[in-house]
Amino acid sequence: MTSRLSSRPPRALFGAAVAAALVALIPLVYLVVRVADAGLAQVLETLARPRTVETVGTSVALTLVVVAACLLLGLPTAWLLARARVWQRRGWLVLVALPLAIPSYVAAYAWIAIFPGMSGFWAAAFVLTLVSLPYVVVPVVAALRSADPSLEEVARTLGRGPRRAFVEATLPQAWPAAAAGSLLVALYVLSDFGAVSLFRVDAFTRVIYASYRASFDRTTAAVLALVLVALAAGLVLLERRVRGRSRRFRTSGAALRPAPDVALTGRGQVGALAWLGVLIGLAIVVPVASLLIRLAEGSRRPLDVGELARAAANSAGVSLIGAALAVALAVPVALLAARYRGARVSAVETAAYSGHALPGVVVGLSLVFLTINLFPAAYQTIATLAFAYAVLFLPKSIGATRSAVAAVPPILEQTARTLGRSAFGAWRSTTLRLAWPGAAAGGLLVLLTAMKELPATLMLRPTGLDTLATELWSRTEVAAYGAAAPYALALIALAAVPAWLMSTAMHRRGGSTQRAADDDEADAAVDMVAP
Amino acid sequence: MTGVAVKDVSAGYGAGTVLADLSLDVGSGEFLAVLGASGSGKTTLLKVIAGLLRPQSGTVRFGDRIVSSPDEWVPPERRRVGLVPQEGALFPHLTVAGNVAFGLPRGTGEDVDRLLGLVGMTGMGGLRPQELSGGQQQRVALARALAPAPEVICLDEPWSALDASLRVRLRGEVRELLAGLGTTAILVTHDQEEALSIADRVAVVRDGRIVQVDAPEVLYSRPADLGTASFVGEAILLDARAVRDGVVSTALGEIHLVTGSPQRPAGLVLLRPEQLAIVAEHAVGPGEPHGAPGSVAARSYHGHDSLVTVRLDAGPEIAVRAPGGAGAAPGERVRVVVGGPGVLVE
Repeated sequence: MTSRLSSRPPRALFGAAVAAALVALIPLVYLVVRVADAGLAQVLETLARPRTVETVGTSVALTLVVVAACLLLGLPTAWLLARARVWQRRGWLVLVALPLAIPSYVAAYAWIAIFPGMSGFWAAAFVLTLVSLPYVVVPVVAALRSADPSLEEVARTLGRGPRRAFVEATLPQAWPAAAAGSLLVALYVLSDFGAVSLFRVDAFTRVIYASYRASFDRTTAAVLALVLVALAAGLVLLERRVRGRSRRFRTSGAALRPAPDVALTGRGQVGALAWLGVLIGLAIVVPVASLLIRLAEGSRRPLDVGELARAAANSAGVSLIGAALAVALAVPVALLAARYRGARVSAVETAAYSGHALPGVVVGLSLVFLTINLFPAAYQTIATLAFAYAVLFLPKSIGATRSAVAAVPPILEQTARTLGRSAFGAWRSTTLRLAWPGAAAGGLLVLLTAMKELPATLMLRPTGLDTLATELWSRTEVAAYGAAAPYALALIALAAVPAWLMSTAMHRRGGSTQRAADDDEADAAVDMVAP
Repeated sequence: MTGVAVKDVSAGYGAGTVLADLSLDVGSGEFLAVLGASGSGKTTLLKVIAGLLRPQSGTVRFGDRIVSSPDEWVPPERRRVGLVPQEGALFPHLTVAGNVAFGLPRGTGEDVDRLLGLVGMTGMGGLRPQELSGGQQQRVALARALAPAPEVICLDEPWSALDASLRVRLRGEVRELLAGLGTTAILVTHDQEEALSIADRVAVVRDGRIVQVDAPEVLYSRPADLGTASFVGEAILLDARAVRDGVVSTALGEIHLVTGSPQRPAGLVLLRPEQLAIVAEHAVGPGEPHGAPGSVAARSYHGHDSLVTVRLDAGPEIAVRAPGGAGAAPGERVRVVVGGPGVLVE
């Protein structure tokens, strides 16, 4: 089955997709322009500063530590959940994906609320490992479960014991998933603003934000932002390549059957449950309990429900505009990418995906410069903030829409043509009719993700517009832990939805045999939760 | 050289039983096909032999060596058994040479070359499995299984994903290669034509039991029961009544029974379509008692032959394979002539 057409895309579609991609590129392009304006000498001088080198070093070290920790903890966890007969395995599978629902700044705040002294590099590494572990565990579980068990059987007949057969025959099938997951973890850590700020780690995002606040030094902020983007873009490109390679790894669509589970001894069962219990305890139970305790304790100032509702409404309102804009930009790109191939098509798609490599703090910074210098009337307006959300989360919308369109066989549209519909009429009554729920789901995802976006909101929001994320931020800054708790819990509730979607998408993939469609679906699942 | 003896084996997954008290002997150097529909338990049997599934009861011997019994269990890595799974299952992360060398001690490069030559893949060691066609993947899977010189090789529907002509060519080559090496081979398949054409003997499995083990010709001409009769080929079954010793009377007239066929006063007699021929009625002299009269009801043309459905004057409809373009048009009067003996089945 092919869902792609080899012919050239219609000019109108291609034009619309190019326009969308150009719009998505605005923050990146303006950042480059801004850095270029500063002149080479100043850029080099900024790069050579000890502070810059130190920042790069801190960010890279933090990233490496968290990735290593995620692999170290994630691979055994994935094996347990994929291959061992752990008590209540399905329940654990849902639980391990849940930390994705806890924004890093909420997790950091929850830990600080228990241990106010927590701070610094290792505290940040600890919390970031807990929240980004699912990026490794979930795809590796899926890869282990979909690996062809014949490989291990053949290895057994060729002289390998059970353990070596797993290591030599099955584990290599999971490496691409582990590598792609590690790259997502790296991207998450590199773009994270909340945890490093709360733990006072001078990583890129915190330094960029600080330089921006100290308004005399905006060139430094821009240069650092560009370095950060370069690193992030490298990670995104690598991740795409690794994911593509994992696909080519499959030789054939062998009849999919699950590998037999390994029975655990009594002691093994206890050990497995303890391992999973500690991980989930640290990643979910402790933070949520901490928030609930703070909520119960209350604060000096009683919870203003009206204020909370207003913040939620503000978050939802701006995010809704951002989501609508993201869907509008995503549709032409997704249609093009789902139906046509070629260098021009992938160039457009890559440009539209630039949001993947743009941390929120970078988009915020670029749009601040852009509005101040070119459109002062738009500076710190709802429109600019919504635009930032649209650019940042456009990849999620494209991913969902593209997989929905790819799931509609083009032959339906062609059949509609032979039954007398015009080109547009045929498209509307088939592809659009069948794909719009997927596109809408993508929009919902953008909405939910934008509601928890912190740094871009801090930088771009109109004065006086408070959202859930900024209210939480301002309360934690003054150590008003009890007052922050309701906002943190509201944010977790919002973020649980995409995490749940990803975990179900991955499970469906594990049991299904329709691989071509699944690849698109899995890509979409990754796009949904990618940082 | 090692034969395989499976005795009273029951096996299954979890609490379920797939094989029930199954016994089977495979001679040393023999090529045995295990033929069964999907779900019959044939793959489970293969797993028990390869050591990938521990039976609930019974014993498995390789030659004199007990490899599985209630007290003993030799894991697959110490059985010296080769496995060629469905669609090859090559290790996708290794090259062709890496796959073949997987079961060999380190530094045995010449062996890899020799094995690749054996399966007609000389010079392809550097390729990746993804770069191979389905047939080539199967060749490499066979070389990989043969590399450690196993005593027994298990083939699990290895060619089911290939197209028909390639399948025929590959199985001929494999037959020849294994016969040359003298390796005992067990092929699991649901394709009766494959089983009949490649094997020294065929074991028919149904519902976890062996129904019949015989040479292909015997299986085809004297199936143990009705199910086997229609499973191994197109079957024509006619009500029969004994008229004298070794002869029954049917709608096609009197038919001789295969020597040694069970004698019963009445039953079903089995004929194969190629035993029947049709003759145009006008070609038969008037009053000659030659063949059973009827008229052609339908005809489907297959190129190499046609399947002609004849409605016999005596009642039943019957399908006859007519070679070439032999054109009996619907409505035409014909006689159906029987060649060779039939067998009573139940």
